[in-house]
Amino acid sequence: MSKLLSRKVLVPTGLIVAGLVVLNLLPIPRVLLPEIRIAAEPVFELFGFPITNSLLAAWLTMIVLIVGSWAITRKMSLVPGRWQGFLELIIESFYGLVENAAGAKWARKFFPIVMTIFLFVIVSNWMGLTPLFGSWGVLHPAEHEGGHPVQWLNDSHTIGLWMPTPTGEAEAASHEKAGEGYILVPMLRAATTDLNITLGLAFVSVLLTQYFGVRALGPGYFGKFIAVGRIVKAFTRKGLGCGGRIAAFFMGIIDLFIGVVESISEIGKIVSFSFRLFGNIFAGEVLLVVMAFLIPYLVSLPFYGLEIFVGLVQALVFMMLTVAFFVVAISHHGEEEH
Amino acid sequence: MDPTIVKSLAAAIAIALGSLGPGLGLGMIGSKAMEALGRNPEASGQIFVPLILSLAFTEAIGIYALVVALIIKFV
Repeated sequence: MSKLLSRKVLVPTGLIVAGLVVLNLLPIPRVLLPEIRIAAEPVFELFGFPITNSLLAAWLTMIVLIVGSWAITRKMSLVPGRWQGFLELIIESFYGLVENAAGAKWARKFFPIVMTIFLFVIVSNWMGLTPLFGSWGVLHPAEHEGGHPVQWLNDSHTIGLWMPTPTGEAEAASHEKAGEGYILVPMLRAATTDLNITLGLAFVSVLLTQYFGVRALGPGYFGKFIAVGRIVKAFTRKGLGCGGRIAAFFMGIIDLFIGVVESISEIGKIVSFSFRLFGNIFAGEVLLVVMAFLIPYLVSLPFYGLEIFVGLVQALVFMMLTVAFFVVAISHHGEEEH
Repeated sequence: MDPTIVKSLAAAIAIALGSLGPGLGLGMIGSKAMEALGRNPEASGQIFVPLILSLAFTEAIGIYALVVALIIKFV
């Protein structure tokens, strides 16, 4: 108890409380709470297809990855320079990780795929955290009440800024100008905060799991899902008595049921892959926005650090889970030895 | 009650109850991993990947609750 009341604890706590009180008393502008939407917003149309802001960010991520890796590996040398050394460090350590899990033979086949997934996910996660990334876009008049007043920067009312209002006046202003509020549709939004993109990644990962399974085990891979092997054996195997055949037949029925469960879990993988990534990253961005709105300016900084860490962990988890599922798919599930 | 109030309440209850179980599970996984590390510090490399995988599976359940709460609140 005495430790809790020591100066080391009391002084920072007092500073924080005093800071909160002063922040709320001073007439400094509040941070505005943007409209939070789960679906990505279309920003323009290309040949009749709506282009959403998350799709734009996905393209930007690809450009960053392609141009970045081209620029770094353009002048390869035996003694790596700064950037080449950095890239080699990343690639080599991850190759070691994959090799640990999958073995030397299969690591060569898995690595390009899972590393691409990792790089795409981490670059788009961190891109969404870049300052000024999602804070500019197209202003639309709010349909229902809500939205924020806008300060126009030119006469034709095309370029505008949020009009921050001092504390206390914010609520009054938003009620007064219910019809005049505008909402911002950001031009860019981190690719992984769109469920469609994470679903696509998950789909690729699960389909490739089937591909590697077939490649390693041949058509016998699908015996995992349609497990009729033991029922057939119950009738064809020689030297079994009548009771033995019945017992083997019932074991076969259990196998059949397990096969159905395996097929369902394959679909469950897609759901959990996509929701995990989308949920984590989207919730992180919502958390940052809400924190900045509740207690302005400084309090969201620790959460910002947390979100950088979460972005790394989620990319790592997506990659390692993919490797783990690949490894399960290529390994034999010893049914012959009984 | 007002539908918006019910919506907020439903989202709060969904995430509150939904994060209970995963929270317990994550704590258990973490404590066991620390225990294993304490017993055998050299095995940290082998513990790391299964640890991350089980954390991810457990956390996914909490994320389902989060997604449901977000859908209730914002859609």
